[in-house]
Amino acid sequence: MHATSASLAAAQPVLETISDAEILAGYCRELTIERDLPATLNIALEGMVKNLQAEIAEIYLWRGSPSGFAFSTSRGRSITRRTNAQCDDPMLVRCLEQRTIVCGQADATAIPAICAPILPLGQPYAAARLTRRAGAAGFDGRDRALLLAMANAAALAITNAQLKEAVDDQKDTARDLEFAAEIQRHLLPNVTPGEYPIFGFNRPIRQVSGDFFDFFTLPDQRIAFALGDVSGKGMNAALLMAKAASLYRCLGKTIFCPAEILRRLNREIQETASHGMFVTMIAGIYNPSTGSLEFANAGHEPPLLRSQDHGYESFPADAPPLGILPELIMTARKVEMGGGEFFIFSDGLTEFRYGQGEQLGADGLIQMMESFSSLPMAERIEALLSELNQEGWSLRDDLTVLAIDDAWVKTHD
Amino acid sequence: MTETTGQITNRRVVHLAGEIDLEHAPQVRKVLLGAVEQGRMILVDMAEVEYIDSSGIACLIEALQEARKNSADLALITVNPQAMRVLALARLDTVFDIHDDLTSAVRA
Repeated sequence: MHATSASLAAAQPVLETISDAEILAGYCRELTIERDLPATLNIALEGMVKNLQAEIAEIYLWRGSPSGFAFSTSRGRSITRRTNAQCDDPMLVRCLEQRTIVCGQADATAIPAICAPILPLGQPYAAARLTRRAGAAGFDGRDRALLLAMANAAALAITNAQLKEAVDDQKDTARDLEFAAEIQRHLLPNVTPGEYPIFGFNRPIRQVSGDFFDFFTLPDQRIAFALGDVSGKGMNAALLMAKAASLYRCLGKTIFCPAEILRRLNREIQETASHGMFVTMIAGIYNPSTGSLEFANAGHEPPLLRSQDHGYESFPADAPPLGILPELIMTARKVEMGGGEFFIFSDGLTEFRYGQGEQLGADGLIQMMESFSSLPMAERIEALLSELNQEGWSLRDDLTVLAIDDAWVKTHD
Repeated sequence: MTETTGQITNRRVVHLAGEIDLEHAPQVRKVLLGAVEQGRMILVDMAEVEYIDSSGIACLIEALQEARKNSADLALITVNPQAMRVLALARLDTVFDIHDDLTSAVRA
């Protein structure tokens, strides 16, 4: 930018009078007021038309499309905006290619024209182009100096307006994300740990989550539950999460067979999922009065059953995740909890890492959980999550836990 | 993440290496779909894959689904134990055709 200005300066006369400096001061002052891009272009163009006695002023802005420019034109006070215009004016092309001010007659006519590059945008594809009526006096050295100074001031103002647009867009996106996250949180049951035999926890690694959990009491007082983990992270995972969670809540209230729920969910998701996205999921039904548990596992991290004597049993997946194969062949497992605890968790939990070390893994998880073995289940999980929230531990994925405490029923009858 | 593509006896071989996670998934997806578009039999060499997450697995699944649409085949070869553990846990070893080495994949 400085080198270019220096090379241009040799060809440019300095401004002639104090009044020119006053013109520029006024022009710059107008442009320092924060405005959006169209308003900034209007002010920049009006000032050029007025102070250089031009009939038409145009500012060309490259929008990144191969066919070219979006540009705004001012005829006196009338501003029009066009998009995807071709840039075929030889003077403008020269001005842009050589990054230099170009003065002459437009298209070999008697129309005086002048083009100035707008450089501080960080790219060479912005310029101002001014013309006067056919036969009017041509642009002289003073006009060149004035326009060059105005183009630089306009460039800074345009850059600021573009940055403001980008920041406003980011604010809109952040607002949308926060709203989406709030809606997602409402898709999950909100139960205080320890006040019910089952509770869940979800912490998204980004604003929105690709994991979900759900549970609800069936008419016969059994409790239906599920935990799912959509591949990937962020908004695309969150959208599929919302779909899978809604389908589950609907199907789970009418179909009391976990394997059949997963088979139906698989068909629905497989028909519409794109980009190879899939959902690992466990669905089940817990009977608090008998302690029996029935569940099916589609590609999900093995859940853990902790017996009353603190022994652990894990249950590998019965079938691949949902959304990959047209049909799932799977049957549900039945286990008796016998006063024990059942933990389902997303791989966000086992993939926790301390520093650059190994992942926590299922064994590390059990070891850490047992270091709080004197605590009741809900408090033990809270202690575990609190430990993993300490400095040094890094979360790589959404984190979700669903826990069922069969001993809870006996202590709360 | 690095990847290279080669051609062995009418099979396109895509070598994946490093961490195949959310950050690298778009690049892996492009390479795999490009290979599927050009070949009838695609072998994905995963010997040097140090870590693969669900975004990376989704790339492999999309490539497999595309290959099947085009009546082409896609198989995984020399999957290292860490990646194999992830695939087996999710029962994806029943979805993908997996071979111990290039020779057995070429014979298949």
